[in-house]
Amino acid sequence: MDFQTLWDMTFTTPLVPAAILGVAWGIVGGALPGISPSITMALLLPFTYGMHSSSAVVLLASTYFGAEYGGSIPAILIRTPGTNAAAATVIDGYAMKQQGKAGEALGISLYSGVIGGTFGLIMLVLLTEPLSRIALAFKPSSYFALGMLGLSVIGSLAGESLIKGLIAAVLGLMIAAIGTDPVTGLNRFTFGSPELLSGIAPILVLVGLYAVSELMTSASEPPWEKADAGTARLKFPSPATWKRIWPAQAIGAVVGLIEGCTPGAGGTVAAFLSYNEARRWSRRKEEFGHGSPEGIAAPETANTAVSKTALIPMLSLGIPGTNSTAVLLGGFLIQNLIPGPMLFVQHADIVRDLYFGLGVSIVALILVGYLFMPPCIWMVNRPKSYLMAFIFALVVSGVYAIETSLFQVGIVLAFGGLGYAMRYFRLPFLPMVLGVVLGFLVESNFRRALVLSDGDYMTFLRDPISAGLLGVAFLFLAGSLLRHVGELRRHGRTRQKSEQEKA
Amino acid sequence: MNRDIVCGCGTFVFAVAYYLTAAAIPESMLADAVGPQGLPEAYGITLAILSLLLVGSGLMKWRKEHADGADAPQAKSGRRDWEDARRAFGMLALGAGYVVILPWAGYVVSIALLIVAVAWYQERAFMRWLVPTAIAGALGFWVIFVEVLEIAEPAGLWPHFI
Repeated sequence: MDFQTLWDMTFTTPLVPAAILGVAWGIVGGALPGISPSITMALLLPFTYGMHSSSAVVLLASTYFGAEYGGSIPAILIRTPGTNAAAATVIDGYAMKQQGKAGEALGISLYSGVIGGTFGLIMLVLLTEPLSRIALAFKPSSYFALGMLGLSVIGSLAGESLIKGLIAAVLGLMIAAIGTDPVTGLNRFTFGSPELLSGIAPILVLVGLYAVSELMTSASEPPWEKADAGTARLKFPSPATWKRIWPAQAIGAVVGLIEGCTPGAGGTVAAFLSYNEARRWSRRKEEFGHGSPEGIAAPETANTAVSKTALIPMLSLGIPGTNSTAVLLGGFLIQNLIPGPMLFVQHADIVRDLYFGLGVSIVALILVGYLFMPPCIWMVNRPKSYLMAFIFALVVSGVYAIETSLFQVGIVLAFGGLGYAMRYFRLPFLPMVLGVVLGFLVESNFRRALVLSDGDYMTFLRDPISAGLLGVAFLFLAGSLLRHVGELRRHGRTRQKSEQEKA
Repeated sequence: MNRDIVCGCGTFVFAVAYYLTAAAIPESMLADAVGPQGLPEAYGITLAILSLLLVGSGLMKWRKEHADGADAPQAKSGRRDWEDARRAFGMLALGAGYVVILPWAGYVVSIALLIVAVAWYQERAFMRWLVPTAIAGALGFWVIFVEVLEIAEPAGLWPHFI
């Protein structure tokens, strides 16, 4: 990238404002307990319709990054994590606040976020670029196999049960089949409704599942505590603190890289794993749980690193490993961009803009992190009922704005109801979203590959990329099944043992 | 009965209905070897099999819980779940109410009513600043969506009276 390109990107495109706005929105959304990064991003989706493609994806990706940091603010101040990943930060963050070190804790969280984000971005650039070289070798059969790999990996890794993950994935594929058939043009599952002819847009599923179902859940949750604005002035960590926290940050960065690249893991797993590892390797293990700075640095570095490294499988393979990257994938689809190997060939400029925007978001986190602390505390201190009412108003207004259609608002509400039922029955959202997003890709490429091979199903095994991807998908499913059976057996043995002891 | 059994039964019924609807998709002269109904039928069958597996694993879990005598706490949590679901679907009903009144009452009034209704429903009490906040909020949303983003939000019946 030459200096002129960099200058143009900075001053003649809206990438910098998009990154700053995304980080600011992310921090505010992440700071509100119950509003996860994916919900914060989903609320923005309707507004990205009329935007320039690069700005839209930068806005959403920066929101993800900002929200992961924002979650630590209520975690430290009111012992309520703003995001799931910030739950690990509560342990030592709130303890530090009780010791009168809230500003220091917030500073450690912010600068660990900056370090995690920087490391994650470097890894993202280094690891996704080589994949562009194999892009041209992809055929319809390879794309079908890639879709199947995504569904099997997410179906088996997301959630608590393999069966439930796969049920959610199949339900997603069923939703994707609504509308006009990709080959014959026949209408399927439209029941005479002209609004369903073009199918159900992934954005409606995303907003319904994540945002509306959360609003429904919030109706029976108690209000959160109030934050004390006086104690919340961010402090730059002292040299002694830096010396103490850097090993924990290094652990967080490595864990964030591994977990970000692993579909189904995400920031929460990374935060807790890095917390445990930081404690294991620390010289002051006994301080963990009682206000250890390392106990904030490790999980915060890890979850912000994940916000960048989770883009590696999403951009290179089109497989979103976390709920937030699934929403980001929805944002790509709105712009008619299909993440996967061809993205680097067909839209290399957008990938470059995304990297640039993510770089800007790291700088923006420092500035916005300081500036937005008072508004965040003000927001957290508003009655929860007002915030939920305004979020509901934003959802219905934003969805209506997409195609000025009340039918779509109704669809979103219906998916909200479905999302609530899925939460109740513990069916994971991610496989369903992936099914909705990949359904068309899977079906159209499956059928195209068969047309090209005169109906020969062996074409999927003759193409080495397709055969390899299907093989990995099979291994994932078989591995999950074996793990499931192993757990059942272990459980049975433990139960038998305890019954014998009782007897 | 545990959640897995209920969920499995529900998805099984849905899978059968989906399969029958897929099978009823008419044949096309342009159809390929798979046809427009090919994959949807496969989805229906797969979902039915997975649903039965879920029911099976739910029954095993239920038998184990039954043997451990965990019925009493389950009944208590069942009542709480029902109460939570009732409140959650109340929120959804408020959203549906917005969809119904929007074409008649217009955007500003509908959004103000939605804010009042949701805040009141969440708080379970009427707050002093609720109506002014809702009016200010509705005007704010009108500025953002109608004036700035130029979205043609319904004006309702008001223009007929003016």
